Amino acid sequence: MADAQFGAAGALPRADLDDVELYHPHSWLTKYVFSQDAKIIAVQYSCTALAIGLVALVLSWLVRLQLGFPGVASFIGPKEYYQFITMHGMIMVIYLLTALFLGGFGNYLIPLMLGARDMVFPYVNMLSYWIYLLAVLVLVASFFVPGGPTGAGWTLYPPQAILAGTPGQEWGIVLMLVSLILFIIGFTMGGVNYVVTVLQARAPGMTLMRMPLTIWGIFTATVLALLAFPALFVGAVMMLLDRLLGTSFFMPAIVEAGQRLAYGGGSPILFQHLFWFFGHPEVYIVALPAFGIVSDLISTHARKNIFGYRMMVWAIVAIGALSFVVWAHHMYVSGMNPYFGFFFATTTLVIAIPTAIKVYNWVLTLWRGDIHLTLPMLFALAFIVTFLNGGLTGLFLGNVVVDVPLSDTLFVVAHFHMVMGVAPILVIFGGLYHWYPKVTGRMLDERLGQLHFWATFLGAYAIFFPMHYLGLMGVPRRYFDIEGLGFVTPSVATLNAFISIVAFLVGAAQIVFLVNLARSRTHGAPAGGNPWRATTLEWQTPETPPAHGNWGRTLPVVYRWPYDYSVPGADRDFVPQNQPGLTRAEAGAAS
Amino acid sequence: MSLVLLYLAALGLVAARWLSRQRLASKPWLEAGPTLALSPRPVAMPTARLGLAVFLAAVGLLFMLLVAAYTMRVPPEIWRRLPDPRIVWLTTGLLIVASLALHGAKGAAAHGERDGALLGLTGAAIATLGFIAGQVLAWRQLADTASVSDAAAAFFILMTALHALHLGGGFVALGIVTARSARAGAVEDAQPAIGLCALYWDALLAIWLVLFGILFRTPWTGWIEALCRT
Repeated sequence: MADAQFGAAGALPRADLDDVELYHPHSWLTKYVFSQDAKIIAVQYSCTALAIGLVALVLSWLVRLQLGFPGVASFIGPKEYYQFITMHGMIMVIYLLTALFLGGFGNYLIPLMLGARDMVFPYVNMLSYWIYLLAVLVLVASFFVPGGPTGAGWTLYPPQAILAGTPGQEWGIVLMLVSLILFIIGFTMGGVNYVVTVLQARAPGMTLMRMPLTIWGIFTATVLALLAFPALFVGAVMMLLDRLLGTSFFMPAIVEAGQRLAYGGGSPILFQHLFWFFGHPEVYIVALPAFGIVSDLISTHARKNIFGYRMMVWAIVAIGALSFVVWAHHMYVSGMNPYFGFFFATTTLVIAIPTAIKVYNWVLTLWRGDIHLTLPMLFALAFIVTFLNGGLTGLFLGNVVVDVPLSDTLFVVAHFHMVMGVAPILVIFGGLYHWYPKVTGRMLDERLGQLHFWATFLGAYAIFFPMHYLGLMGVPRRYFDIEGLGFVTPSVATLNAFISIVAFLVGAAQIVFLVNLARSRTHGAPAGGNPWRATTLEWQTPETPPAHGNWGRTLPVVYRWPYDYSVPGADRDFVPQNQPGLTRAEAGAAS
Repeated sequence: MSLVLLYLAALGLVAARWLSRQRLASKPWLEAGPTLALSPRPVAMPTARLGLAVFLAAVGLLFMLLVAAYTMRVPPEIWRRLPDPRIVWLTTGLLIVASLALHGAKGAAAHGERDGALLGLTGAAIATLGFIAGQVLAWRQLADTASVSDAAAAFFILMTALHALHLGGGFVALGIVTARSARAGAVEDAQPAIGLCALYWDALLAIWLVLFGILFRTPWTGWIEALCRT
């Protein structure tokens, strides 16, 4: 064993309060609005992300209204339809999922789970949130400018994104690009904080291999984001210049409405490379925190140590590294060299190996566990099957010969909604049900939660499972109206109507969740400090909700890994990370 | 994109080297007690310096992506055919002077020489302003000979503008550090902050040399071209 005794000469650094480094608010405004406390910033990020997510939810309703019942809503024309799908996609991927996982969960959990008092650069952390909010406001403003928001599709492919005829060509695309640039600037400020806090501010004894997998996931995802977002930044700036100054980074020579435009020589494929160099790691920027959180939920609620912790860590790192060499599998139909297609298909399939290791380990953690079907556990289980489903269809699309005929069909839409839409959102819900008691000191309502879970889980399957079959039938994505297409059978319309009705119900279930969040804040049952009997440090704070500085006078000292559940010989079925005493190995030998 | 992948590979090597020292093969479930084999701060670097290094890694990638975009967008036969505004050589010299001056200031601060430190900081600020002003003149010279539809010229404007913006952000920090150095009880206290400025300027100098080499014909252009074609 590589440990030394606590208190040995020259051993641990001081764990008492380093008052100099801790920022103290002096007014209500600096405590709750312009706060530098990561916990407040986390709540700000989460509330903003959920609010803009609600907009995306309404947009998805409108999209489904048109697809399920074409012509019923007279205010939805082709222009509006494209605007709705574009804004829905971008909001969900960037402004909800990325912001909530990294800005929300990251800010709340990194300092608490690592035994730190706060982020290492609190002021920069605060700026990060306010720039994010500005980015959201700029994005929302595009609904109110002449021409409305952009309808270029969430991938914003040029040349059509900035040409007349594409909705939002006047101002919408400009505001979208400005908003993305702002988001990236804000995220970079937060991201540097998350990485350096993990590297520098861990409590005594908290080695990397004692970090909860949630932190491993958020940490690795943040590194990915810091390296992936610059590509989107470059692409957005260049497209903005093409749109505003008439440069031709992406714009080829083109004729618009019979007139030759001044553009010439630009490369639309270059934008695709930049976009997907960001876009594919983005999948893992969302997925890795989800992987980490779900690992902790499963272990805690199955009262069992995570199976294969080391493999889980290595798999997170391996997935992160591989995610940078798979981007062109989104571009198989762009006319690339077949050898490139072979290379990217191979790397795409290789990434399935560490991913599969994680899925096996979750299942093996559950095996013979003392499974408590709490709401966080239900969402975690739902994540596993949903992610598995979405991942398997990813194997289809990773192969060039299968991807080409399926490209631009609803099969792709169903795949990515399963794997990076529904699956991570199930983890977000699981995480919110799990950590809400720590944030507020109260439990969420169980009955409303059960309603929310079953409606969301079963509903999501009812929406996206049949959508795969629509895709296999060749039903194209991004079509405002598929009536009149010869190969589309009447049954497609029936299935589309069914999917839409379910989508309305699933959306309504999210309203139930929001009501639960708001109501339980004051009416929820008191949670106590550690309602799930969990081992990780955030549950061991002296106060719930944790006070400013998190730990009172002394920082915790970490004595063990975060998964000591059901240790033989232990008084309770969990041993907190900051509790000295029996090790699992010693306990095994004793019994 | 080969240059970008090489850059990422270099970052990956740094990360792998660091991770190899973190006992990732250990079995934490068999260990209890406050592990002391590793310092709780395994990165032997001050927090602010590490934060700046992480930020610069992202900034470096941003410019590598721009270089990759340049090589993909601009046909090879017109690479470096931009009329070379001579003033760019002068501005490059000014940026080198700024970087050296900051290192001088850092050394002076370490020895407690306040005047030397302030001289270095002021010199760096003046040289940096000169650099940015020179870049603006270069834009104007270029505007007389090329149009925005000229891809190479557009890249020149974009790259130098983004570079100057980063330098402008650094300039604000430099002003704050200079003011603190003038006021600090002991100038040695300002030495870490001056060191951060020096690191930032070094990084922006290195980035500028790469941009210069890809945009114009320089003695090191062949190296960058070889890396881009790897």
